[in-house]
Amino acid sequence: MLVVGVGSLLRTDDAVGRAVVERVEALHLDDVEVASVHQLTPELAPDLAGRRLVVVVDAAVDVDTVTVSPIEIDTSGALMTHHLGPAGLLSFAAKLGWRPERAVAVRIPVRELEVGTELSRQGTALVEQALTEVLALVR
Amino acid sequence: MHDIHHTIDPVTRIEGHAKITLRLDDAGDVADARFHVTEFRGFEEFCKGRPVAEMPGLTARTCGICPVSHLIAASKAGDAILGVIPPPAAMRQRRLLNLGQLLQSHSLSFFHLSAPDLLLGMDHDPATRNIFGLMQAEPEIAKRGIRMRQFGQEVIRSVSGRRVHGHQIVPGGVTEPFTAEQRDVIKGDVDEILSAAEATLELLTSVSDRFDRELASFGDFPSLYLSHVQPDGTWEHIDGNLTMIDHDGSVVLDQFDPADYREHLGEAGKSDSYLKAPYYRPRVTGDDPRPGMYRVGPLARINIAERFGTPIADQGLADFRQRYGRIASSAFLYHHARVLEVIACAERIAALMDDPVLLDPRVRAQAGINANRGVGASEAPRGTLLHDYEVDDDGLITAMNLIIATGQNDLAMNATILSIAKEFVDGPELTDGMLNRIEAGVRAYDPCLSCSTHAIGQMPMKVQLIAPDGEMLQEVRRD
Repeated sequence: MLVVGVGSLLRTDDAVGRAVVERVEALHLDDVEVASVHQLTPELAPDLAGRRLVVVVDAAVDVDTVTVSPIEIDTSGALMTHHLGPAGLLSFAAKLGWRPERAVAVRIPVRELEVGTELSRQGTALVEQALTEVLALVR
Repeated sequence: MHDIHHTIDPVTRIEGHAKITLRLDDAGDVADARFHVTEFRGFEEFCKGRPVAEMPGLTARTCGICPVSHLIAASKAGDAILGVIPPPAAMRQRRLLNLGQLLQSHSLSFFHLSAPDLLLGMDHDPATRNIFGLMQAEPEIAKRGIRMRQFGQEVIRSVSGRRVHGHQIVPGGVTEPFTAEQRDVIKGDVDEILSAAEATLELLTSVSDRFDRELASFGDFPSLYLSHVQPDGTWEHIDGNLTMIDHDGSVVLDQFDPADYREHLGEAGKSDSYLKAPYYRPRVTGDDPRPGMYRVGPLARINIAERFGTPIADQGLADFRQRYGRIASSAFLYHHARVLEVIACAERIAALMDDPVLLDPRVRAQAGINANRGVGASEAPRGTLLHDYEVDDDGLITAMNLIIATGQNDLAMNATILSIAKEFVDGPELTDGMLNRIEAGVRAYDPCLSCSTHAIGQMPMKVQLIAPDGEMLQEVRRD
């Protein structure tokens, strides 16, 4: 299994996904690898190949609670190499034969995205909630 | 002919889109072409007052595609201000880092940006003339490109701490020793990457015959060339001095210290672009910098170097020269030069993995401020990069000048667009095929702005066709 945390470390709560991944890594779980990235890129696609589960953890401004949902392949054709979302990454991987068995997005609601390297109090609390969701998926 | 002034749209300025204007003469033929870069970054100003030790981290933010190049040049400028020579292991780590950067960036340029042109065709539908169209048509080639770029990024991550905006490269050396485990990971993959690079050269060679017209019209003109090169003529990418040659191979400047660049290079500002246009100073007597045009980057490097110094790349270089001559002048051949450099990078990375000095734990020289000026230079994927810092006695930046590879190619890119327009623009109407070729001509230089504003395989771009009286006959915009 692979847990991918996405976000900018210089934009306060945009980094919540990476904070979750840091917590997962510290647990040294069997059969769980992690990746902490600024953004999703095509080069991640080979790492998805054959995984039983891929979890992408990211900040989101269009949800109100921590949301867990399957990642569906993007069939719109509007893929961008510099702005890949989870669906785009999965589509990219699938086209090249690197599709995982299952892919899930954990989206964390954030409001504070100013320049800064510290999570807000709310962001820190949401990391705990999201971690619980991620652990439920991988355990 | 009337003097035409163009106003840069503030929206494109913010978004970083390129704009091209083509001016027609009274006969309706293309008389001039201008490439406008509408980004303003301001690093040379807002870095003032910051400590020199922060420059690798700050200036690396100039770009998300080639931050490694700025890390290296900034650290080397810092070395000069500290007055130190980094330990041998640190020098090897930086060398490894730059090889990884060249490899991953060239792979991005070739597979993601240019292979759709080369493999699907210049007249292919722009909607699918991109990496995703390539994935459909040639999935194994697309996979190869992704794998090669992934390897280069892994090399970068292992040395600098991150795939993008690493933090372990500092004035005086690097912060962390390289471990045997890191070496073994790279060593385990490099043979696969070398094979993939060789296959890529074969692929490119096999399709080259389809592009004779592009070869002749994509910036095939005499120019100067500038790059690092070792004193014995071996290809160099990070250390030593610079050499400039003329279009016939004659040496114009032999092994000059990058710190002396101001003696040789001027920088022309332009009213219609934020991109400065460096030029070779002795050849410019008036306001027009074009007589001092020179080119940097992969094509310049292989034109200046006698050899790569690694067997497979050298065989490829020999074949290339047999086909295109000792000095290759067409900008279209930047693609070949890039692929040859990828092979050389893979070979050199493999050799570094067998170098025991790489694992030496002494990696950083410590010192205070010992000079008030330092210049760092390296070969970025797109060409020679110079960071010139002046500091006060506390090491705070008082002046900064960055000379970026894309800027040094600016005059040549303008000339290339003009040559393409003259060949392919016929009459007052802009066609899609013509736009495709202008894109491809600019992309041959792999300018940073193409990467940073690039969407799929299509560069956000506005092309204006201007009549002699200044009337805009047509504007085509791609977002």
